[in-house]
Amino acid sequence: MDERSRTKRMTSLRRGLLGMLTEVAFAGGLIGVAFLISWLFFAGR
Amino acid sequence: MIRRVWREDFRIIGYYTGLVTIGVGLLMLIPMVTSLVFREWASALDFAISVALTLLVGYVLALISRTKNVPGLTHAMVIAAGSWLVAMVLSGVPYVLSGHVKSFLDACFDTMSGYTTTGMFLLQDLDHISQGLNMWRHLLTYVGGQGIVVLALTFLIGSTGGAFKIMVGEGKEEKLEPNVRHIAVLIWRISLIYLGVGTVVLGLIAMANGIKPYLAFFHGAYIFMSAWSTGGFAPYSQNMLYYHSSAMEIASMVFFILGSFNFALHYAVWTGNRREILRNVEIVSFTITVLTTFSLVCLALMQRGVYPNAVELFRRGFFQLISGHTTTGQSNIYARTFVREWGPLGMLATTIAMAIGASAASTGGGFKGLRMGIIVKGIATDIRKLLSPERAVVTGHYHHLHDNTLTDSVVKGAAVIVVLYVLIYVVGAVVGMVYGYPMVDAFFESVSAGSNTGLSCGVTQASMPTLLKIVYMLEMWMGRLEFLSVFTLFGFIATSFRSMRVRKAAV
Repeated sequence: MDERSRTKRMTSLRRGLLGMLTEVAFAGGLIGVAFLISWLFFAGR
Repeated sequence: MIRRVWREDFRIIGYYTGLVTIGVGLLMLIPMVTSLVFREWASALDFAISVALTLLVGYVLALISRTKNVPGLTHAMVIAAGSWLVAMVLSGVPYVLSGHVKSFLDACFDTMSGYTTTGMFLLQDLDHISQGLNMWRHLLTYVGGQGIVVLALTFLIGSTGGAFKIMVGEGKEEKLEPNVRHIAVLIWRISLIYLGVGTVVLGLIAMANGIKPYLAFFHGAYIFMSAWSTGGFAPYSQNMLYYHSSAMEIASMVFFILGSFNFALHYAVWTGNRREILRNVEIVSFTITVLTTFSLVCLALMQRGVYPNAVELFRRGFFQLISGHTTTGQSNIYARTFVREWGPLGMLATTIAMAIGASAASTGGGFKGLRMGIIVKGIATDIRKLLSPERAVVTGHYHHLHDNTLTDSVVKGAAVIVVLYVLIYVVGAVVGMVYGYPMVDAFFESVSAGSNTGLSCGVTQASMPTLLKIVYMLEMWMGRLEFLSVFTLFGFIATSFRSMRVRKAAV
């Protein structure tokens, strides 16, 4: 594998990993907002 | 004018359906090996018989209808819908041989539920089935989530001109790459990478909860396959309640939220377009409807004083709601809790969430966030038109991978599919009510089947009326394939009979 294709592969891997983390962060954020909503419902009763 | 059906049409359909069937037969080798590893000899024999039968049917079908012709759009639709039926029947053989189902219909119900990623089940004594059968149930749902045709395309069919059309017939209409085989491989690559990550994460949590290490990773794989494919099965009858673990529930929630995303969105985000996750109309629509329906659930549960604190409200309420909205169907409450504790408002909010469902071209069901977004944008554009000066040109836009113009045909296309979904939801509910189930329960269960969710309020059980089982199976099948390919199959059968009559009259 030459240097160029290795760099290309590393870039693709990095993008994939960052993409996965972005998706997990989004799901985590949604779950966090939902927790906040349930907390607000209890706080405001 | 509808064209006549010729022998070559049957050949093309038979050949490709045969290839998909061979794929299903090869897939059965995995649970067979699982049974061998766990020294479940009877179960291994069940699978050996099923593998032999399925491969034989597939091979004979492909051999007698061998052709080099490429499928057209009609063939593709019939192949997609027909393959799912053939797969449902043959995949039910290990269920029947295991002795854990009351009838072959119940076995077909479970396999249809698995392939369509619904998650309802009629299996008896689930807590004591073999590891092989458990693996098969979860594998069905995992493969069904990606699509049986996608699986066959990856390994058997290759890049024929009609291959993409067959995939469209299966509800995976996003063209991520020019080569259809590359699309299939890409879908599998994303799913397999997440399978590795998910199995490790969930396996470690299961281990921390006291499950033996070698079993913990099997549980991890089962729960991941069920979550990612928005299926809803679990190895034990108590579903997620069995684990009594909030860590397991949160991890599973993350995986089924990700599983409900469009594969095109995964591709965009994984190839560097990370902002897409915040701009995509499906995700915007999904976020709004999730938070709105969850607020309704909170309101219902607070009114009835079901849970003592915010943590419990979130843990039970949000898990059930998001499980319904992503059309997963995993559950951390008992089925009858919906009726006894959640009440009509809580059940209605969950029913609405299930009806809307996940993203297009994902593993999920329902009428999808994309269509919801398009229809809402269409209504907003119409209102803007009414408020603008008569000569003003008002056009709507929506963002899905790139900016798209909202045309009348796009809105009409989305509305037609939504109407068809509502129609099957209503038909299923009416049949339920005819058999004496209360309206709320009948709608809840029917929407759950039609949107491929699998949450149950107690209607689905082996003793329920046979007609209701068949109606739910049809709902699952139509809902999963998004109608067109199923209607084409019905039309093809009717045209075949008419062509035969015309030929006989000519003779």
